[in-house]
Amino acid sequence: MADKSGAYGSKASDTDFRKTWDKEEYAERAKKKDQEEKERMQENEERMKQGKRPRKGRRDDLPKPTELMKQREGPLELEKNLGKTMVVQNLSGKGPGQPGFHCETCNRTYKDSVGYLDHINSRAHLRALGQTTKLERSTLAQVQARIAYLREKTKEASSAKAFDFKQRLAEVKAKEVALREQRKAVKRIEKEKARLELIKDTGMNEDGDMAQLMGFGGFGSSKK
Amino acid sequence: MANTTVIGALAIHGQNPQFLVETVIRNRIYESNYWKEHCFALTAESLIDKAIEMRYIGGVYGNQRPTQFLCLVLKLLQIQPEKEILVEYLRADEFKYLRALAAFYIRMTFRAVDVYELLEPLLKDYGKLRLRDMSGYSLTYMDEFVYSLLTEERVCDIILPRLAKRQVLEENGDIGPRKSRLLDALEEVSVLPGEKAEGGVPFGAVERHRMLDPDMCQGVVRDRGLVQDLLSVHAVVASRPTGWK
Repeated sequence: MADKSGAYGSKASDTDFRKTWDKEEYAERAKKKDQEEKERMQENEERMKQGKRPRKGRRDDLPKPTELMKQREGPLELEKNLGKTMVVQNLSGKGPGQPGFHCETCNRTYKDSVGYLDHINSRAHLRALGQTTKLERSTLAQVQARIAYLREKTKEASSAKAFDFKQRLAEVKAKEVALREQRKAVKRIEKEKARLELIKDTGMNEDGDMAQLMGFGGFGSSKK
Repeated sequence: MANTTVIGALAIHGQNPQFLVETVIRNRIYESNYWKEHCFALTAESLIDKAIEMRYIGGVYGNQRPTQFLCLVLKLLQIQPEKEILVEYLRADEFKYLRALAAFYIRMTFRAVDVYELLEPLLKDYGKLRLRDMSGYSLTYMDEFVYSLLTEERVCDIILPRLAKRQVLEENGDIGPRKSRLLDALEEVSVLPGEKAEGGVPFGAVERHRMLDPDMCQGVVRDRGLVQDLLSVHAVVASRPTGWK
């Protein structure tokens, strides 16, 4: 047979199911990578000459950290979703919505709280936040102010708890009496109303009966 | 970084201050969740909040888990606050756990003279403290805790640095003799010769006077400061048998 066609006339060859690669694009990428590596090596050579350690990875272009290391604002709430069953929204395997703890700043997901805690305390994460690893030193005045503030706060809390028992009893009693009075008043009004209604009703009914008997009832038309 | 000692910290007892906590316990602390979650980037100011939230003192418990107290001690060693700040912690008498923490840190890092001068006034503090150890919770008191800091070599599962004996320091003239509250009271008594000796001695000290033997005092008399007072009185009485009635 001269032409290579299949039994059903298709021209597909044996290995056509394989993915075809855009060779040019990948050649471009490889070239770029080589270029970067070359630059890194050159830079490392320079650094070695100056007696510095060579750089291992790519240089990330973050601005210089400006802040000192700061405490986290608010609790981490690591146990927020404890015991919950959740639907995984993101099936791609990257980014938020994966099971585990996600760090938005660094876009990384950790499978457990320990790994996550290690990450958010790490130098890399702090760097991404723009913080150095140096800690602020608090002064004596700050400490004194803090203690004074906490003293006031705890005093308030304790005074809120401590109350005069007798006064509280008296208050409760007064409230009860007032409530009873109110209920009584409501009942009295209702009774009065019922009484009036009864009087009215009986009066009306008597009138009606008499009128019926006499042959005239109401002001409506007599037509049927 | 999260676990390194602050830059510019002074060496204490010739080494990195964090090394005062033994390696095993120190690594346990570094691994503990409380350390990672709550002790990150604490300063001398924000540490107060954490110290107030503390509910017990102690070393390690259960499966060798470090208490919050121990974590905060290590944090103090790490950030090394100034001496004035530590004194300020000690002066906050309503926050007893902060006080206990400061006392412990002072015992670990300060010179012997400072330790005696700062901690001996705390022997008058009878506040209750909850102590957690391997066997569970137990009750102790601030004066007992301070007394153990001054006399024992292992408190809260940490080997304390050696402390020069008070007597030695007194002989060298570094510190004056200990001011005893009981001696003052006894002097008042001697001023009034007509009265009986028991009349002026406060705090039921006469009851305790019967138990002067230090072995008997162990575990019976709670007031460690008073025990020391009584012992010193004993010495005074022995040296002046005729002058004192």
